Amino acid sequence: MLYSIYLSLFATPLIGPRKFVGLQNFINAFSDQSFWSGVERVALFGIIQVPLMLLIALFFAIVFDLELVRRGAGILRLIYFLPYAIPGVISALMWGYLYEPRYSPFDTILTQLGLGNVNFVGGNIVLASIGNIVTWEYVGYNMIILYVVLRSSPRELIDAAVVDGAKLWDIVRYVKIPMARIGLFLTAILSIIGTLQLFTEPEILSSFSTAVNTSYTPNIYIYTVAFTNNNLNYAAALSVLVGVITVVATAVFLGLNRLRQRRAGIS
Amino acid sequence: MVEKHEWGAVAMIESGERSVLGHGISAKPGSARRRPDIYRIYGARRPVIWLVNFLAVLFGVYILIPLYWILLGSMKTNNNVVNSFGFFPALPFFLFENLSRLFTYDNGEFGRWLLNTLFYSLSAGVGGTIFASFAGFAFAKYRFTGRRAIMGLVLAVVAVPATALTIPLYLLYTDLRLTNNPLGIILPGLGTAFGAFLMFVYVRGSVPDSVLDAARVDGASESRVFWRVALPMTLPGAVTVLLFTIVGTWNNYFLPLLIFTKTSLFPLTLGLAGWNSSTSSGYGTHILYALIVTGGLVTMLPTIVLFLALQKYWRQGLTLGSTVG
Repeated sequence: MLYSIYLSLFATPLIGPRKFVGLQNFINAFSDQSFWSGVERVALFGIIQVPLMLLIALFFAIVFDLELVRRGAGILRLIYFLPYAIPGVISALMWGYLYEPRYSPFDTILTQLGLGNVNFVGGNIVLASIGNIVTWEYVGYNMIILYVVLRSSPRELIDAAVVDGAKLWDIVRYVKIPMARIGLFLTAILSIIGTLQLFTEPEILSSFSTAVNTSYTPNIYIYTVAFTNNNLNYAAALSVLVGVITVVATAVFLGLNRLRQRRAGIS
Repeated sequence: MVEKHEWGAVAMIESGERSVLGHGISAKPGSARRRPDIYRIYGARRPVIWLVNFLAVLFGVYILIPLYWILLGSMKTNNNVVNSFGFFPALPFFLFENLSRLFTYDNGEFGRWLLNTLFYSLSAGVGGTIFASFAGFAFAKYRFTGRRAIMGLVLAVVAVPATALTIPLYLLYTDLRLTNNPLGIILPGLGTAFGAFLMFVYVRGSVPDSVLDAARVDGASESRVFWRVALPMTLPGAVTVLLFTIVGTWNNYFLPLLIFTKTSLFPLTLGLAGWNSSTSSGYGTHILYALIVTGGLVTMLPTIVLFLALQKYWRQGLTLGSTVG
């Protein structure tokens, strides 16, 4: 990382040695539309996909913790976790084939039902389709983390709540969700960082979709700058910038979290 | 702010550790603990529970859809992979044909990639686990100057997922001339901050000082104390680090994509992605649908099998694994 900062302060011309250019790379980056459109895209992605995924993960973590699933809970947990063991490339390839209108079995089903065609890799939908892949990959992993956190919290609290006449929803609302908070906090931060680093899934989908271009996400754009444009110094500057944005996003999340806690403390 | 976050992680690890040793997820089905009667205790209504069970199964089906598709696909001909209905089997049965073509296509480059992937992941896994054990043991059992500072640094790195360091790493490699060098993908696996931290927690939790002192009094050297006494006692932790490092390297795509341009050095992920882009762009002389699907299946099977076989270890380690990202 430190080395990237160092590199980002230079420029390498086609002929001649690397020369010091100060903050010029960063000044260029600030007016680089391709870069910022990617940042906006992953921000939109993160605001919708991360809460949705964590909500599903939390729902199932609580369901399993309270043993509401009577049969096959162990097997179901394993199935949910499976995608985490699968390389992102293969996950994206499988979903790519399931999406692509020419091969898609979903498309066949929809057409047979007379519901018309949906192009899952079309311009407006492809971001949601990527969201589905990422959710599919990580929801079980997050669920297991939250589940382990719930399992390792004291059970006596539930007993006490039950004695006090708490019903299922009360236990979920006042015992389980607060207990899962530390787990949610950690999984949220990791998901935010992961979202800003989005690369493999859109990169693989770009061979199925014309909507995924060479500046679709910040990392894809950096990859393009480094390899197609051969501008390593500018790529270094952009990667430093992504690091800064990540820190800022995490700080904003922490700030919101603290604000909410404080408000809860007063009321 | 950062401090608070780290304390959160530590608190979580402490609680995770408790679940490892105490009750918790390793409880076997049919064990002595009686299941709560959800209807009586929580006053849950039957339709609600039915709905919850239905949703849980439905979600399981959703997770299995792509896996079901790829399993069927690996048994189909090239033409049937794209032209037959994806959720039904299609004849002729082509699995064995696909497998033999997979390993012979283009002078068996897939076999080459498989060997590369095995080599990269095993080297990174074994090496990373040994280094992490050394570091964890040193942090937990030795007092030395700068210990706290180095621990802090390790903790900070744990919070940064590997992908965030990929591009900086690549930039460093270009100057060190480590591109197109297997070391480029093995080295990051060796310095696993998460592994060192996990081992630190395990050593502190399960290796008492008295046992180490007893071994020393009996005349065992420090290296013997480490290999013969401490390491066996932390086996679950070491296996978890091994598993996560192997799988992390096996599944990695971004880093090899940046550093490898020679196809003979490719891991499986990179090779398959290459087949896919040449097939879908239509420039390739060969259309490889069936091989991509079969190759995808072969690539993901080993990691799935590893995770299933080592379940009881990683389930404990996962609370900590959350920090790997």
